[in-house]
Amino acid sequence: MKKVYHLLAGLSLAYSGLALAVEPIKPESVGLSSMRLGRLSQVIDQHIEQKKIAGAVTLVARKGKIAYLRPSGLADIDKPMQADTIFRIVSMTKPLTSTAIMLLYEQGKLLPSDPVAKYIPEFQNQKVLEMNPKGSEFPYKLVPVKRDVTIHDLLTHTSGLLYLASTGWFPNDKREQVVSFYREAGITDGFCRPDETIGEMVKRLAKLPLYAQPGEEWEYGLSADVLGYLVEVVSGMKFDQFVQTQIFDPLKMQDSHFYIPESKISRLSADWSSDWHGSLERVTGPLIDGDLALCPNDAYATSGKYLSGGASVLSTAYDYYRFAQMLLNKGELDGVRLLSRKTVELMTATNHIGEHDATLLHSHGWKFGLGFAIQEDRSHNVDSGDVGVFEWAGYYSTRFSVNPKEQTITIFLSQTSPFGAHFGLWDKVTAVSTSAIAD
Amino acid sequence: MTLTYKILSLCSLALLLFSANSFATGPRVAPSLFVTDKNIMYAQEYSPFVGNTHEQQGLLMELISSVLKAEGIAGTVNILPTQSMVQYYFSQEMPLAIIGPDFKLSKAANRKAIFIPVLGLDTFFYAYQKGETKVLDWTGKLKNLKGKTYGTNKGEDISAYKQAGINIKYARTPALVKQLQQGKIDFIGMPEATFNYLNKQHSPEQAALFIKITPKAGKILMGITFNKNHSEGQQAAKAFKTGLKKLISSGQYQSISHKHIGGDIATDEFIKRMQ
Repeated sequence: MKKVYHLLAGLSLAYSGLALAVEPIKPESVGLSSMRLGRLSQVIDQHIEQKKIAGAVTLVARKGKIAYLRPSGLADIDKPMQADTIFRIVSMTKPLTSTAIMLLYEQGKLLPSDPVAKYIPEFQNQKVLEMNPKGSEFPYKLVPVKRDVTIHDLLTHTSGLLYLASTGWFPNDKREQVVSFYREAGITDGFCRPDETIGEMVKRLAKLPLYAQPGEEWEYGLSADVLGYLVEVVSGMKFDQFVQTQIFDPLKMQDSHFYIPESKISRLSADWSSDWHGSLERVTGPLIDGDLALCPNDAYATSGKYLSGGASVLSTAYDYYRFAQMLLNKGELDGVRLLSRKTVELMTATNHIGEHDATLLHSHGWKFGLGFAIQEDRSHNVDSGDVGVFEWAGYYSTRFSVNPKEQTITIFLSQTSPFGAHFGLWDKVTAVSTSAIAD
Repeated sequence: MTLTYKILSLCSLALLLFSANSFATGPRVAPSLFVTDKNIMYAQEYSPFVGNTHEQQGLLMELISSVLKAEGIAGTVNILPTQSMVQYYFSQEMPLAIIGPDFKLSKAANRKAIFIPVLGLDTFFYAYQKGETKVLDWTGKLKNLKGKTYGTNKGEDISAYKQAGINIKYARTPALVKQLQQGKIDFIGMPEATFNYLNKQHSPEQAALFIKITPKAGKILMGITFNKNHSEGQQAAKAFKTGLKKLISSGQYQSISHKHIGGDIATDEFIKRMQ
């Protein structure tokens, strides 16, 4: 009988893995209301019942302790979501890339104010595309940059680099013209994994016209991909190797990868396509919509050349919590100091982009730090949190939010596209988790 | 106020104004401030003929650089990843020359162009072998390929293909090879040297499955196009023609070609014509 008990206990441990290893504490012990956190379960379950999403893992932590960690719905057909399910976090890769850059900054190897051309010569003598007045003999002209693109511009998305997919979000003639050069040069957004190195892509990108003068517009784009290559140039290491040894290993992020190990493929969530009105299907091939090209199945590749600083990482809610907690702790986690307090303060300062607003994920009232959006004021249409909250999201419906004032972290990981309909759900998740604060 | 005191005060002011800190936050001296655009040339990246690094400059670039150097034609070459950008610079700005394939320039741009061919290579169609079936019924007539899909880069004149009822798909050359393998397109066309280069770079293990179709599909001319409107354009073109003849007659042209693409991909016919 004792043997059977041990066998069952072992099997149960192996099956649920992380769920047992990370046991959430009683929410009340960190000033959160269990009853109110229960509303989070209701909101997510309702979305699953309505077939808006297939499943999710949601995590809420406060004062350095996980108070809510709940897998719900399906990770794949006939496969329930687990706490340790692995997700394509896509643009939530960007804060990791910014952290890699800031590690090099702390080692005295680069400065945010450095021109990128100092390390990647192809960024010298860049041009900016300007449209000529309607009816002109030629539709556009290329004018010299007023100043070089800096590392700070890349960290804050003020470099003038675009995403191809932005033609669908904010269509205009100038954007279309710049993106036509991107297309011709074989530039991709990094949501698929092309058969080339990131350096090859970045060197071509640097030769193409910018959409705006450096520092003059906030434009979400391929900046973090350039930063990933910059890490390679400055550190002399492949980007994935640098992130593994300098971030994942010290923070014990054991399930975070650029390419998934064979042994963990079964833990990777499927991607689902939802029309937000009850039609939910497992995605089997690439999703192409105009200039937006998504290849969720590329995440099953166990090796490859392409290492996107803007989109390549696969991770779990618990691993990303460890990264977010390090930032919330101003650079330290479990006795390991990754960044200095001053560096995290620099990354989370609200005044990096001056008069511009980071209006892609949010609306006015949000600025952009060195890798994520930061709530700057409450005079706009802001739903929750506090001034100083920093957060970012990923294309397949993933989002993290850190509130330094209340010491809370909220992570929501799903795998559903397109992401347009998800803004409301994400905002509700952060609003409900914020409302659970009960001290 | 004594003279010494005045000098010391000025020095202190200068130190204050130009201290390390003021440089740290002030405008930086960028390399772009020292680059002259006067004799700029633009080239289209097209491996293995125009590479994007000094170490791998490519066959065409090495031939052209050798002539430019021998004839004392000074200039900076800026290698660009798209044909459209090269065309833009030639038509809208005042470069000394552009380098690459025989660009399809607008009528207005053509009026100021002096094209000097430097390299002429046969092009071939390539298909991907799937089973035992004949991959492409090519006998030299495009109409035999009606209904097939041809993959090409933007900029190629595809009117004859369209007339023959062939579907067209555009992509960058490395992506075309991948699409050929995936069955998304039926055939592509390029010089053998380009195809061998791409195969080596991207899918060496699949090389045997790509089939070179004979007879040849056509010919591609690559070279340098001088700008008549540039103050040194006509003179430079004349000097370049002389220099190219010298390069061929000295045997240097042949040895550079051999180094890059070997003796099996003949440029002999082109050299004879040039001579």
